[in-house]
Amino acid sequence: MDQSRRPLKKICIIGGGSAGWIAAALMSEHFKGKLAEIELVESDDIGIVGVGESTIPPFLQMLTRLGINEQDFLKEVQGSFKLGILFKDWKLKGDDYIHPFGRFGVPVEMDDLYQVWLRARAQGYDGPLQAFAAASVMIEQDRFTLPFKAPRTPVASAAYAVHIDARRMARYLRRFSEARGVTRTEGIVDQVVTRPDGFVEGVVLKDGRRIDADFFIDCTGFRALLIGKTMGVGYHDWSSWLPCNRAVALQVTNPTPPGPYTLAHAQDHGWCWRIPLQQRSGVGYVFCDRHVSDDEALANLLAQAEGEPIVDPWIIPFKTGMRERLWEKNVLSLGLAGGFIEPLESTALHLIYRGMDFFLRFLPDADCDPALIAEYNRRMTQDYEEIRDFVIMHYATTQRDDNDFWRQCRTMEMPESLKSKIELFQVNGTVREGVDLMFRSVSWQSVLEGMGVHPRAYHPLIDRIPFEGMPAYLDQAATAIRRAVEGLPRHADFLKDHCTAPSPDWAAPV
Amino acid sequence: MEQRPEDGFIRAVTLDDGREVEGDLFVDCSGFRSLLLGEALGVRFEDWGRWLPCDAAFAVQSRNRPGDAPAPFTRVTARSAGWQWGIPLRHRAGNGLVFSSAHLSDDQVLAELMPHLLGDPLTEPRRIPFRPGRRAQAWSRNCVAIGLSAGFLEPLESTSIALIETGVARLKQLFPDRRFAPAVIDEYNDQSAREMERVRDFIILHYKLNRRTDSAFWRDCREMTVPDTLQRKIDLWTARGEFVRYRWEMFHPASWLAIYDGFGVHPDDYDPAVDAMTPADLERGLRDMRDNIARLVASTPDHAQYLAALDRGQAA
Ligand SMILES: Cc1cc2nc3c(=O)[nH]c(=O)nc-3n(C[C@H](O)[C@H](O)[C@H](O)COP(=O)(O)OP(=O)(O)OC[C@H]3O[C@@H](n4cnc5c(N)ncnc54)[C@H](O)[C@@H]3O)c2cc1C
Ligand SMILES: Cc1cc2nc3c(=O)[nH]c(=O)nc-3n(C[C@H](O)[C@H](O)[C@H](O)COP(=O)(O)OP(=O)(O)OC[C@H]3O[C@@H](n4cnc5c(N)ncnc54)[C@H](O)[C@@H]3O)c2cc1C
Repeated sequence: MDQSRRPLKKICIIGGGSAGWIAAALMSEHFKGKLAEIELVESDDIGIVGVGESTIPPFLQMLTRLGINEQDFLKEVQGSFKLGILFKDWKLKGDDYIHPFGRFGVPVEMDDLYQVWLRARAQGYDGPLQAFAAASVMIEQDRFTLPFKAPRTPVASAAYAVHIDARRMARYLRRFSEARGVTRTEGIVDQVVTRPDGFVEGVVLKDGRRIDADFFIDCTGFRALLIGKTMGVGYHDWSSWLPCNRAVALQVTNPTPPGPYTLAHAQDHGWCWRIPLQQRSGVGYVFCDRHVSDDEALANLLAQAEGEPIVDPWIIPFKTGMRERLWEKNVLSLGLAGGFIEPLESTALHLIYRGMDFFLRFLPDADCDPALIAEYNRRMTQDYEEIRDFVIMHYATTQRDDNDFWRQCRTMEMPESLKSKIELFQVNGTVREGVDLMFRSVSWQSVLEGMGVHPRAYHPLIDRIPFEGMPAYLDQAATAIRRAVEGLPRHADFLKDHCTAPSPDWAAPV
Repeated sequence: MEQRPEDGFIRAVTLDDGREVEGDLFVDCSGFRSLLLGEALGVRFEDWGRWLPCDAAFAVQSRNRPGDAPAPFTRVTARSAGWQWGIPLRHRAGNGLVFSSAHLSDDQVLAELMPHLLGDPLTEPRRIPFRPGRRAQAWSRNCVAIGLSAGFLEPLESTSIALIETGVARLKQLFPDRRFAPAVIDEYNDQSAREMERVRDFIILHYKLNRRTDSAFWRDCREMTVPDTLQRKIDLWTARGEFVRYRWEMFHPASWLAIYDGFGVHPDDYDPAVDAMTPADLERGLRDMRDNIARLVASTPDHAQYLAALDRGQAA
């Protein structure tokens, strides 16, 4: 063992959006007040991006890891539940589908329900696939319960994530982190001081204060102050596959009770989201500035959004892609500073958690051994690329022919990794699965089916199961799911009983 | 063997007595000959000899000594230019020596092998030449190779039969129909290649980490350049005792740890987060683990007792 170890003594996080405070919370919990000192610098003048309010199920592992009570958290962040995403108008105008969380809730011995369904369909069965996903049925009926509270029922096969208020989550995690010894400093970083070997030594604030540390986490959002400006790490530009480069965001009142899903509604030149919280919704329009001006985008959004605006809309320019290296020397980039893929599958917050999870696994000493950095970058790049492919798929498989934007999506050259995945699926519905993949078969099957990409055949081995009575069995199973869901509370009622948030004063700053 | 003129698919094989066997799918299990995939379809062999210099083995069976209970592990002993195995069965033992024919003559091998058998010899030693490596594609057209016909890695970690099992499972998952979609074949080939490369790296590790000074063979092994995929793993291990994990790995971190530790290759550094525990807590944690294991092991039957219980139909 090397006797000259130099453990990190001080870690400085620049930025106090979701990324900054998730980093602070996870490190302060992991270090138990014993290892490095943690300081977070943020600037109220610059502010945070203020979107990023829809999540995926694995994000909730973060709360468990932090020892945070989920119910308590949901009260504080205006939280509501999310069972999946409703995609409108993606395949064709007027055509909807759901990407549900969880599994298909029908036991078919040793086989994939999807394959059984494919064979049944080849023989004339016409029941829809999503009738077997409890989460989809719950979305359609606006019902909710926590799946683990319904063991041995079809509902147990659903999984859920949450919608949260971004500012309230940052505030919640700030309190959590400060209670565990994290120092918060208000100020604008003006200069970054580097050593001759390129490591960052310290940052100088506008008022002249200087903060030195052994390690820096760049959570400065799209500014990418350290990883981009100082370290000069390049950016993989993915806009040839994902041409949207701007969003307009807004918050509106809820004219109807919040549904347990995120809406992703395709528009002529992009798509609109609606993320329902307990007492308001976040809405926005992701678009491409070559086709739409900011004013047109806002008008389009206002026409779509049900509910009254409660804040002024704001414009967010972005570039889809990621850093060539998320971690360089003693600077780790997290959140928007590291990369961005449009929020169609709500993966960014989870990637922040994942980025910290791997960082803690590869926690370096002050010398930042290159082997740790190389493996970190390799693993995280894999995740980014998987999400990129999954998101591109929603565009590339469209059948819309109503304008140039969608025609270009249809004819784009996909990344090789996605192309081979879809080709394999088209053969007989086989989905490549690996231990470290984020999206499981059900996700690919649901989205591809939803987009009208059907395999040419079912898996040959399905022919070995006796099939008489199978259509009747499938119908019974779908009925059982529907009945079980009908007995559940409405989503809004469940929220009221489970985690009512205090009524917010929207005018008050948080 | 007859191929279809239009696409080179195998239509049928002909036996020496003239009978013809047709098929849609041919699974080549013809051993090292790789009769269909290699010989008939001409799929190239990827040679891994530059990392794995052993190219032959002598195998010999031995009689168990009366009263000896078979040990519940395979014994592998390094020799001057290779290594010797001892695999104890209940009625006899398998023995053999895997070696590099460039470094040792057959006589030298036998002189190293025969004095160290697990018992008196039962058979004449049999010489088995081999080539480490794999067919560039395990599946070509309508022919899938499974077993030695797909490739070979020396039996240092007894992986061949496991690779047969994963090959069969993969064939089941990617089972074709008569259209033989290229996407299915590509996927099968990609997964098989990656999986076998991972096993290859694991075996190379045993050679790379050696510190023997008694022969040029071992010195060369130590100094060889290993595949990048393996070098990355060694670097991360040395830096911090962490494991690089690729897809389709057969061996989990615990196995890699056992080899590194067995060779005395320890990391330069450890996870700094461990410093959040006091040395006393750490010691207690480790002691508890050790005590637990010792207690559990003490309460289990020994191997001979267990086998006897199995025979009586009483094993748990
Ligand atoms: C349109 C849109 C929709 C999205 N929707 C989703 C979604 O549904 N689900 C999801 O998971 N994610 C979504 N995301 C992503 C998500 O918003 C971000 O991943 C998340 O908010 C993290 O942002 P951040 O903390 O990296 O950056 P920010 O929130 O921008 O924070 C940057 C911080 O850096 C500070 N800062 C910057 N420069 C300086 C300086 N010089 N000195 C001091 N401080 C500085 C700022 O004050 C601020 O505190 C969306 C993103 C966009 C753009
Ligand atoms: C030295 C050595 C030690 C090993 N130790 C281990 C170990 O400890 N653990 C482990 O898992 N694996 C080990 N293996 C590997 C293991 O032996 C093989 O993976 C296993 O035996 C499977 O072999 P196979 O069926 O592919 O080929 P083979 O056993 O060689 O079978 C080939 C078959 O093809 C037939 N055939 C060939 N040509 C024709 C033809 N023209 N017409 C008709 N039939 C034909 C043959 O008759 C035979 O039936 C070892 C291998 C070697 C060489």
